[in-house]
Amino acid sequence: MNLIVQQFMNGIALFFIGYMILYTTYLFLSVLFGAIRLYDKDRMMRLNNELKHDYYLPVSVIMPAYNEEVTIVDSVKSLLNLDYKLFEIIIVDDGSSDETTDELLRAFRFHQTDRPIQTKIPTKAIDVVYEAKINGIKIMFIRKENGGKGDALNVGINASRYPYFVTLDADSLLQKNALEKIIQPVLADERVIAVGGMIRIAQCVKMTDGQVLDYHMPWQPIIGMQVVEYDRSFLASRILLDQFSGNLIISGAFGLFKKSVVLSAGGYQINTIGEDMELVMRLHTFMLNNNRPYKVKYQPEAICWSQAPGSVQDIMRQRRRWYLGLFQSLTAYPEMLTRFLKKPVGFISYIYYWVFELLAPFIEVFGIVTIALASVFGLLNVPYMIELFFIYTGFGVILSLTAFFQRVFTQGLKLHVLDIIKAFIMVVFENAIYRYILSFVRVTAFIGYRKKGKRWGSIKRVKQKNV
Amino acid sequence: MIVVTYIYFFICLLIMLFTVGYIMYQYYRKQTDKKRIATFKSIIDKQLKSIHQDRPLAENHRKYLLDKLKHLNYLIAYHDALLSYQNHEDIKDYKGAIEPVIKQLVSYYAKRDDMEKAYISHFIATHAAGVWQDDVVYRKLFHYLTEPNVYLRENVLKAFYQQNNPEWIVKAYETLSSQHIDHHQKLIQDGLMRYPYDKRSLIEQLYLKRGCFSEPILLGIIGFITYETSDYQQLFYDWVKEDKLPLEVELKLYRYFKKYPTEQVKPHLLAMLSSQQDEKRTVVADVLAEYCCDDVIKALKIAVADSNWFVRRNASRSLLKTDVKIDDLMDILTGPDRYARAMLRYYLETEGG
Repeated sequence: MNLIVQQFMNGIALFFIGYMILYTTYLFLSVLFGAIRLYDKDRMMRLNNELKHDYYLPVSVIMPAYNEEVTIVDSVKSLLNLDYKLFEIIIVDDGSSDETTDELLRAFRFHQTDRPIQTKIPTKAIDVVYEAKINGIKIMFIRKENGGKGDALNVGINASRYPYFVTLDADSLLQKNALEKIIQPVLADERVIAVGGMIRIAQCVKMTDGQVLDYHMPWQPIIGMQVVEYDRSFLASRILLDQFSGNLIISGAFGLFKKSVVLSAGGYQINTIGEDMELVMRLHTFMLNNNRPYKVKYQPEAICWSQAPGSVQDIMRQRRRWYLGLFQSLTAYPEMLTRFLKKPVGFISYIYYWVFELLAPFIEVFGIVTIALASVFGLLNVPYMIELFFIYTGFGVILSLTAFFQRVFTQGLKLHVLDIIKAFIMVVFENAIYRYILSFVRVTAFIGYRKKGKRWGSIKRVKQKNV
Repeated sequence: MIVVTYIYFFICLLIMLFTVGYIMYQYYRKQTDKKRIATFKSIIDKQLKSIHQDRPLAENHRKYLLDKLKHLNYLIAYHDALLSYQNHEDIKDYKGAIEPVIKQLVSYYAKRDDMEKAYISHFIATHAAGVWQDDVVYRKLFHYLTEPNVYLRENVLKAFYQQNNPEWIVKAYETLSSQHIDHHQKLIQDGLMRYPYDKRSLIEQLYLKRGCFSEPILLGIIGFITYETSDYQQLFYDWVKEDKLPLEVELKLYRYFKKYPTEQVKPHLLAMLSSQQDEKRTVVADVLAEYCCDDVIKALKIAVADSNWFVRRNASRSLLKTDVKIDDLMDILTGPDRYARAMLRYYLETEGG
């Protein structure tokens, strides 16, 4: 019996060794490529290697909103101060039950119109359309029947006038040059069909007219740990995948898309939770299926400040949604594996998201169960296990701290000693505790899955500082 | 397993230390940049005074510049220092006097990486206008054009726009086209608009060679001509009637006739309003806003009920910009086509008639 258990445990140990080597290699390559790219980018900026122009291509900024009465007005005002000469703003209220509409109508001089909107993508009915022109920027405010975020975005696409559109969450603030930066990859290469911007946590920044006045790491552990988590994701992993147009996610909080391609692919899906990831997956498969050359780019210089959940409950709800969105998007496009396995987006990105994002929490739980089993049978090598835990956590800490410092030098932030101390504390907690809590949240995400449908994710919003 | 993680751990630790070191270097660099700029300014001041007194530029100043500007950080500082003299009365003479240094620098930077080549091109593009016109400079830069780096290409083109020989620009576009190197039409158009010399002679040369250019370049050129001159009505009219014209080029030419209407093209535009291609009908419906007469109004009244949403929208807007009579509008507003009614009503409300 013991021999069988030992053989079984050896097999599992081999599996975990392979898994850990692959994962640490991925993380290592992410940081390595991130460091090279960010250093290059900093040098490029210094040496004027950029496509800087007075006028860029016109873009439509689409801001879907649902119960955003706290932040919507500030978000729209922040858009009016952008360093961009030609854009329109389209706000789509997806049937909010709070004061979102009233707040907007009070803050801006809208007038009601009968603007005809072509239904390029079928959507729920539009109740009313308002228009205004402020600082020479056309703003359209559409109130519609509730249909979910994807449906609201589709209404925005239908109403948009320009060939490229930017999606922006209603709680987000764009940095002054964000639109300029996010359109630049399109000017560099016309094959670019989508560009993702960098998302940062708004609670630790003070901004005026789109300019960062002050930045500090927060003391609030929930926020602080998300700051370091975002840094690692946006300054390492996405840069690695960007080397071969392999990003499968462009955050709905800030991304740019070529409208004609999105329309050809059918617009946003309305019956999915992660409509942003689903769209990017569909764009990949659509272009590959049609043998059309394309690029999906990531632009870390285009910065959007978005509010992060501030309570444990909110973050659990958000991550549950993200996880289910990931599950829906990955399972909806198996051809990534069957037809496009030879493409890097298939054999690297798709497999990465399956193995290290979707299955990872289950593998981690399985690992814990195995440890317990090994302990029962007296097969557990405790010193080895402790060493493995420490080296692995230490590795995570180093990766996160590297991303933190990379952000400092790429964004020209002033570094305070207290911020470094806070970052160090947050990074340790994030790697030693927070990530395991999130794994638990992900494993339990499927409980109640069917009931959730296409509802909006809701987290408690707070008023932005000094907008 | 542990060994691999230890290896990664230490490499990542090195990357982190490098990053921290780089942050400190950035602080240090800011300070040294300031010092270098101040030094260059004091040296340039002396030379400007000398030039003001009709004395030639000191030979040792050229030698000093050549020696220092081979180092990128000094070139950056020198560039910033020169920018602060933009409105100085003698700066043109000073820049003219250092042209031999620039000629040597371009050759020197040819051996450096793409980013540095792009920077020297940017440096020349910023300061060359009216002073650095020697072919040697541009012959050297020309070799960078076919590099795959878009930033280098853009900066080289910007440098070409600052010299007064249109042939260099034509030659650059020919090379890009023949080598199938795409450059965004918007970049081409904006770049041409920066040309500070005789734009008409540039346009003439570009137009003559139009058959040699790729589509994005052609579109950029037409956009530039549209912005600059009404002199091309006849030539563009002849061009737009050519067979097998790429669709985007044809549409861009129609837009020219919106800005510069001519009676001659009207029959052609009216004919295009019945084209099978939605894009042509859409653009022409918009262009016809500038052609006010009964047959245009009649055609637009039909186009308001077109099967394509964009044609209907443009036709409605255009119709209201003509001298349309109230009876004609009533025909649509009381007519059977509800889409046409809704569209026209909206534009009547927002833009008036």
